[in-house]
Amino acid sequence: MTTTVGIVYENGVVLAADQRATMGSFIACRTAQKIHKIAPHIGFTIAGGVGDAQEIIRILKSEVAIYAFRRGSPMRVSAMNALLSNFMNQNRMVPYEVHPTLGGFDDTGPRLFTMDAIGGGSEEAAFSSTGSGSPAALGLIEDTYDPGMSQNEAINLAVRSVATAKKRDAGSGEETVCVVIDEKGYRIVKEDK
Amino acid sequence: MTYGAEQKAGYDGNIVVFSPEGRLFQVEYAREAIKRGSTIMGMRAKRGVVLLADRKVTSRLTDPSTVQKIFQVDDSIWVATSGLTADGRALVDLARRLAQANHVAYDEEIGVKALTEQLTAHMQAMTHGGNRPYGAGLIIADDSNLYETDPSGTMIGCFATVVGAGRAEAMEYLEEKYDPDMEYDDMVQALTDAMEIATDGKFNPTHCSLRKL
Repeated sequence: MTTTVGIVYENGVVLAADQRATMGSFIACRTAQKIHKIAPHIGFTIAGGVGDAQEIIRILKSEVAIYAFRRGSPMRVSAMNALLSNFMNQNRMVPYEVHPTLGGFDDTGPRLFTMDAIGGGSEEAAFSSTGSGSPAALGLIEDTYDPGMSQNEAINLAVRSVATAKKRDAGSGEETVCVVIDEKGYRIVKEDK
Repeated sequence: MTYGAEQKAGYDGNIVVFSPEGRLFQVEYAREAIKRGSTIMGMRAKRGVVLLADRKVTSRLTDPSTVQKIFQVDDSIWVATSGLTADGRALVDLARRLAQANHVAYDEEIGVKALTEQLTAHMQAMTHGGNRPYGAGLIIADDSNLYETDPSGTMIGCFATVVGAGRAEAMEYLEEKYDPDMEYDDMVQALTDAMEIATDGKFNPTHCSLRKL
């Protein structure tokens, strides 16, 4: 269930997701938070099991904090991708049922990664989508995405693609949350529609 | 348990315990081992870093090319060792393992500061862990960082440093000569002159390792 979207633009990354959490055909929560701030410069979206995702988020938050204290510099998004990949692959026999997206901005610029349940991480140079609504969302993004797009255009495309998915996917719905991560860090830009 | 020749009443035996004055004799003896080691030195300026090591050989039957004092431990990190050679080797091997563990964990190079922190954390553990301290001093560097370590597990960031025989005299010379705007040639010259002083003129330039970073 769920629709999440990540879009890279020239100076940052946009993440967007719906707020519906389901248990079978029952809508268990209409205000689910699927985008999480892992660090001041890294966001994390979840599709899949909520409990599994919450544990991963707690672990990543502590890892990124202790890394920054020890090194005196923030963890890069690529480093967090490696860390998460190792962690999820170590648990491949009893996997965490999540399909995460990592989006962030560090000294190498905007970075976006998605990962499967056994730690297969892929860097996305342009955009990504996860969850049951992703085919519908990707249809719109594939057609519209332009690497030179502005921040506002990227936000608009992210929100519209989640809205499109919500129209045709029963597992996605309610409000859309949208987050921008750029050199100024992580901030929520939209929490409606 | 064995007692020292000077009968220090038990606290210089083969475990590390405090003396009544609050000193750790085993750590101080480890420093003595380093003081008797062949001289290594490093200098960091705006231009970069230079490491110099004396590979003195005591017999003409020893092949000097097999005596190594400066080791690469990661893509851009180098370590110079002085003191007990085998202890230095063990620390270099640990440094290489820590560097690779960082590549596995984070897919990036560990960096001199984090590597030195992890190495000295291990060295510090040896001062209260039932083993003995390492009798080797290290200089750890890349092209913009220079640290030295001590058997107590202390790490010190330096502009220039000397470890091993003749340290005090050579440091005095480098304190006078150091300038952050020095070019490579000036750095090499200053270190070579300091090495002459440290080794009482017995320094053989063909038996040394020079590494510009």
